Amino acid sequence: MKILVPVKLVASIDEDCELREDGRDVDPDFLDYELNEWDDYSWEEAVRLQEAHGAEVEIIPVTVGPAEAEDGLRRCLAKGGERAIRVWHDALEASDPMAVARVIAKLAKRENADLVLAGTLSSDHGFAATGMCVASLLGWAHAAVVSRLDISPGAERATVRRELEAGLEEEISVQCPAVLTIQLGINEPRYASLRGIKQAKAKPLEVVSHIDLGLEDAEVGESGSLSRVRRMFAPERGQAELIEGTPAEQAARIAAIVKQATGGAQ
Amino acid sequence: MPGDVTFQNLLGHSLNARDPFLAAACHPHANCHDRRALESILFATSKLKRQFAVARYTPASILDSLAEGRDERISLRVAKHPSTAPATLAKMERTTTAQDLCVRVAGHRNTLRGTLENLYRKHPNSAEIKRGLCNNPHTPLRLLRRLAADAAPAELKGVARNPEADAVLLRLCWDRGDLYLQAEVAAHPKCAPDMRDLAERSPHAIVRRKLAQNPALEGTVLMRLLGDSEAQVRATAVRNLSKSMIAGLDSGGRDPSSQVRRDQARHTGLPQSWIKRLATDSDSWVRRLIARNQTTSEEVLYSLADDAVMEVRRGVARNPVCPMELLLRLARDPHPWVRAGVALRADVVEPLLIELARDKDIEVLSALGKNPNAPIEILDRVILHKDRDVRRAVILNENAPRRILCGLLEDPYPLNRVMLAGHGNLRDEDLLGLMHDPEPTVRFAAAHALAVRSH
Repeated sequence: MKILVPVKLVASIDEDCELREDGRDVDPDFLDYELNEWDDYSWEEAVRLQEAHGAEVEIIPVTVGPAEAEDGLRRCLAKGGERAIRVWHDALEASDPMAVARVIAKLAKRENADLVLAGTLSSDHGFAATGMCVASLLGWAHAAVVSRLDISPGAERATVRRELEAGLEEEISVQCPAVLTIQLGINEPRYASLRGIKQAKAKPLEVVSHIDLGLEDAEVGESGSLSRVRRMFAPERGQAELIEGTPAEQAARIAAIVKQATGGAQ
Repeated sequence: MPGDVTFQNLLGHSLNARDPFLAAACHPHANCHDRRALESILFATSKLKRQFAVARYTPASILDSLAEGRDERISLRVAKHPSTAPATLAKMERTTTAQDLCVRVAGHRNTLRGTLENLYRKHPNSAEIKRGLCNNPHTPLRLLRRLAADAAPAELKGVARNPEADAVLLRLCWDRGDLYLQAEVAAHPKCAPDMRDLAERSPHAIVRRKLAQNPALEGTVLMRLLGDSEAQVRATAVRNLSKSMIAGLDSGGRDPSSQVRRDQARHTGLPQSWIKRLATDSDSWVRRLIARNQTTSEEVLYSLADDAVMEVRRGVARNPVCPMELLLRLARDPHPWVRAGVALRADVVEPLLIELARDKDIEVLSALGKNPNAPIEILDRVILHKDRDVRRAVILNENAPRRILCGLLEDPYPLNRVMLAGHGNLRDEDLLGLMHDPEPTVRFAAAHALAVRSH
């Protein structure tokens, strides 16, 4: 069973960040990158499957991003897996989830993957769409917000649990191959050992472009996207109240706000 | 890095490696010439400058250099950084006219009085700067008086809290203030006796509560406040009582408010009659505070060791005067939090620690890891535990020997390695290894420890 795990480095920003001159994104000087938290869980799930089934399972982290994105792949390889794939070309810049999904779907076909484990969403843009788009493009079954996974190599179906509203969960049987988007808390991701980090540096990391995968420029980047960012801005915060005064005065004001919000006596 | 670690070879290594985090650790200890060389690494990109301007660990010397860059966005961050030195803030005040920056300097706790006076002289009409000055504990009395003359009520609240304020200024605040401002005045140690009288007679509980908090309050006033109708006032007065004053009281432990009784139970030097009464209090917080109280007699501790509430029994286990016989009993308590309380104690005999080491609970094992008298065989096992917090307990153990600590040099959890770098029992050669760690903060911590040692 071959499992493809799309991962990405996400940007974390300070509250006092500044925007780019074109007003469509944050100034890169204010961005720090880290592996998307959801992808940490999906990769851990893949590593556990490989540990449970040994050589029957191959796990491959993949990313769509420039050279800096390799850091995310190496972090995955430090915990498990023997190879990784990065897809990049300048034409991929400004790709939306659908354009990224086209790349991942092509990669899944090329690799004859049996399962794609994606994060439910990414913490920077939060579309929660890439995994579902991949499933749609491949014509595979899909399940979102997966909180438990039970699958064996060669099985025709996987049993998954999904989180629903109001604390409910549902257990469903999914036809394989499938795309599953993994929810936080499905497992406890491990920290990479120092030896693992060193070994990861020597593991093969293939770099391909969308053209190598059979995609045209028009199918990726801004032209291949179904949405584009028009502007990014910090909205006016009309609801916010800066509580001033002495500590006792501030405490009294907070108490009054809580009373008001909870419908208590004034 | 060959040979003994001197600062010069640490510096040379940092420059050769061109690692900003090693450079940051060396910067405070380097001379002017070497600092310039380190800064070519530290400030190689605007992103690095921004990161160092906000990072909590950034030394004051780097902040000073960043402030010299004249980049207003960076300077604003430096002016907000708690480690920025008084001289840096003074330099900023001298060289900038930017209002935002002056506001930050005016409110910074490290800004000294000369700089604050200059700010007022240059910006006498800026409301934001004046507010910063009113709240700054280094603003001199002379300037506070000037500020108070035309200050808005919100600014006066800063003046009333300011340790430099005197009785005259506090009187002005009282006369012009609402009850919150009067409450601040009542809490100030320099509040004049006649204003304290006014505060004591105030119909507002908040004013009387803040008065009860005043560290300069006479014992007689405190005693009267112990009889206040409001529990919050009585509780504050109890907290302010000295050991000798509380020993002289004869009606303790009977207050209808559990908040007051909790504050009574916290006091050491309580009369035994109080302790006996509070030890059977219906409020478990009162009992757990008595269980932890060093004045509590052995007899009472024995009875509290049978308390149904686990936290009370834990309090007994943590009490330094708890007898060994009772500790032996508590070491077999059904609740792991109580057993962990015993395992934390440095005065426990080794056989008991070995018995506790058979425990599977992570709280007990963490406590053993931290115990400065834990035998090496126990620490050997704790460092192999799968839980990162349990392993970290050994790093927090000042007596952990180097051989044990070396087993954690490759701990997978980065925070453990950061903390390990600060352990005094590691040798220089161990720290040199950590300087090649993939985690930047570990490299900084290791280089910082070496730089401090080499000075």
